[in-house]
Amino acid sequence: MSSLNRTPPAVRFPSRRRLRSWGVVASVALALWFARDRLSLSSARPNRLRFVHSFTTASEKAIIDDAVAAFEQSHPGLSVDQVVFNSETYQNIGWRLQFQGSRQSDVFFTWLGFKTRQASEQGWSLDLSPHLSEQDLAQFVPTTLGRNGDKIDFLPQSVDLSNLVWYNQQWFRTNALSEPTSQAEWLAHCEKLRGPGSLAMVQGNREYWPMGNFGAELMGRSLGLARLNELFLGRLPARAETLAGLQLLVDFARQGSFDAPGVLAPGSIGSLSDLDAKVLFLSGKAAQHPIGSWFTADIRDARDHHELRFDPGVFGIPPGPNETPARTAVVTGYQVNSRTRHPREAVEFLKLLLSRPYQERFAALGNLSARRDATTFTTEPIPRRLLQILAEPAAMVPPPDTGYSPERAALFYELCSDLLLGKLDLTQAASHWNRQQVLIARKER
Amino acid sequence: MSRRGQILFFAPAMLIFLVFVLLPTTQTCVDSVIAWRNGKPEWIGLDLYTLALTDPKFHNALHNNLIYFLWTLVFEVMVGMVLALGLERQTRWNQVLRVLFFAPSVLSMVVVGLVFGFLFKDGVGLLPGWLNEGNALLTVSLISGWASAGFFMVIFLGGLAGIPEDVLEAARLDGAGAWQTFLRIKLPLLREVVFVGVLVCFTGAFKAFDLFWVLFRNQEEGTIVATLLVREFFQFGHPAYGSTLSVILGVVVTGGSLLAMRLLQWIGTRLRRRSLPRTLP
Repeated sequence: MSSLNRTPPAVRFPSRRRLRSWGVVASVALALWFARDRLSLSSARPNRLRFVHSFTTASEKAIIDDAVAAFEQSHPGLSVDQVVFNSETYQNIGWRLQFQGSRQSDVFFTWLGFKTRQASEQGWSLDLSPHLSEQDLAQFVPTTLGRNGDKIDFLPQSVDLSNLVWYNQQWFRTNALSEPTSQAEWLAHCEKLRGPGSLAMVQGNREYWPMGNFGAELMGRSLGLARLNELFLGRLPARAETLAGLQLLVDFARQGSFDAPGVLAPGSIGSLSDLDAKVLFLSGKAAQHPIGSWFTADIRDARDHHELRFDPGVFGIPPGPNETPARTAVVTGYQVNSRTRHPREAVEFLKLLLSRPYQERFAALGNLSARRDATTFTTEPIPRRLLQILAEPAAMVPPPDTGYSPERAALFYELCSDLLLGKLDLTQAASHWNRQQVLIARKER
Repeated sequence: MSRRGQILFFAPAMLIFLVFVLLPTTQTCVDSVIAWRNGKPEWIGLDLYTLALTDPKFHNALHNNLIYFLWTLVFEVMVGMVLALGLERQTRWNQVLRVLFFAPSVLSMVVVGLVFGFLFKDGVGLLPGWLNEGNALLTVSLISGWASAGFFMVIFLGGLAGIPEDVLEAARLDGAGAWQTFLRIKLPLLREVVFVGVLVCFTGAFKAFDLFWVLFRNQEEGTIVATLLVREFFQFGHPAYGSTLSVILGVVVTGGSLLAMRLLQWIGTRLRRRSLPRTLP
């Protein structure tokens, strides 16, 4: 009975304050909803190919721009976005970061060796073979193609010789010098060319890789490729005799080949960058500059801008006693990201870029094309001289930063720099190398 | 304000803290004890922490951080204090000088690094050799001092402006000279501001990155923990070891800050006691 008499519960209307709170929440939610496009992370647009590379000289960029324009013309509705990195930034960090985030690359420039191996291990590289015919593949020197089992995931752009010695022909003539045929003769040349206000050789080793690659070639000659591989994989303990190939760096340091009174103080090689060294050589401040075959593009740019007032010549590092011939060379080229939305178009773009017309233009800049018909590309003296050097029978040693793990490469580069600056002798260098190998192995375990 | 209102105000900040601080910090801690092998996580425990404790590169980087902190204490905090004391009086000339000294602190450290890097470059710079081994940390601290002393000057000027004029007047009437006034009156009253200054300097020295990255990049004499861990993480492809170094750096900075606060409080108390007038026995 009592329940019948109970008054029904009063209907509770939300208070004005509560209504206001909900109103604020609803307004914020609505604002977020309407702004969702602006707030969302950007993603790759479906009608674009992102092409990541590190060609920064004007002459190289012009060729790529032309290839992009031709590709866009033949593929209406599809455009190519170029993402250009500074070479060093790209090599160290950029190439790895491009596989993260929502705006990944479709086609990317890379170096055959450690990086292509890692890209295929991580599943970043696309198998290109379904999009390539036998005829397409037959255009390239077979050893320059990137193979992962029966898959092909790398197409080659060029073969770069990492260590060449560029020299001022006028200086050599004035001093009655010819291209050296042995390391002893080369050291004697440097001694003769060095004097007050006169720099025998300029190098910018601030980032370590220029003389590190130089050291790798010396090591390849003294140890042979197989033992060098063992050393870099941490399987061959280093001793002073193992590193004997690097004696030339010690001799350079002792002789002061990279400095001269009134021009550069001893040790300057460690604080100059490769760009500084390039500028000093091209402006006629030094007789020689050791750097790779890509320097041809800089010579061309300097000539085009009427900034070059001498004729540069080039020779390979001369042989030392009891050495087997070796050259440090790296194959550069392209891979396609396995996540691309346009696999067929990406490969078509590469086919166009690697076709004869564009490769001929690259060859004119000194690029040694990986195409079989490369020898017919140019009659210019420097590129032909480079092809001649490349054709000399020698084992191909990979530059450490493309052939081996980045940390071991960095350690080797550091070692070469320390030898060059006289901070270490060969015995100390060997024990430093061995100690660091233990630490690296623990990190990689 | 109602409970719900408080939550509404609190939620966006909490969300940002969660997404940009808490989650990455947790992820970094997790990454430091887990290694990825063939796409599968594997527990490695504190292995990389023990490795860091025996890694000479890490020791060198931490040592460089510490030296850098000590130098910046001089070139940023102490110089900032001297500038603040020198420009304390409100004259037109002092105001111009304040602006001039503060101006470098609005520049990006990358720009500062590039400009000074060129200035000190061997062969082409005006002052070659200053960044070479032996001088590297002193030079980079000087650059940092040039860029940041003005910022500390502004902090100390704010503190000095807060000191009551009558206290200073009383000191003057008692015959206190400039040095005594500074040591017995201003410094004890600026205690909290100095604490903040030293803490900002300490955390700044340990989280420094841009100037070192631009000026030294790979050189061991200019390697600090932040540049080392970036190299390990990105360049060498050791995310687990990079994360380990991040965690250690975080612990060092937090622990060091707490220690510094305690130490400064203790010094402050001592200063206050010494500056109190002696009254009846």
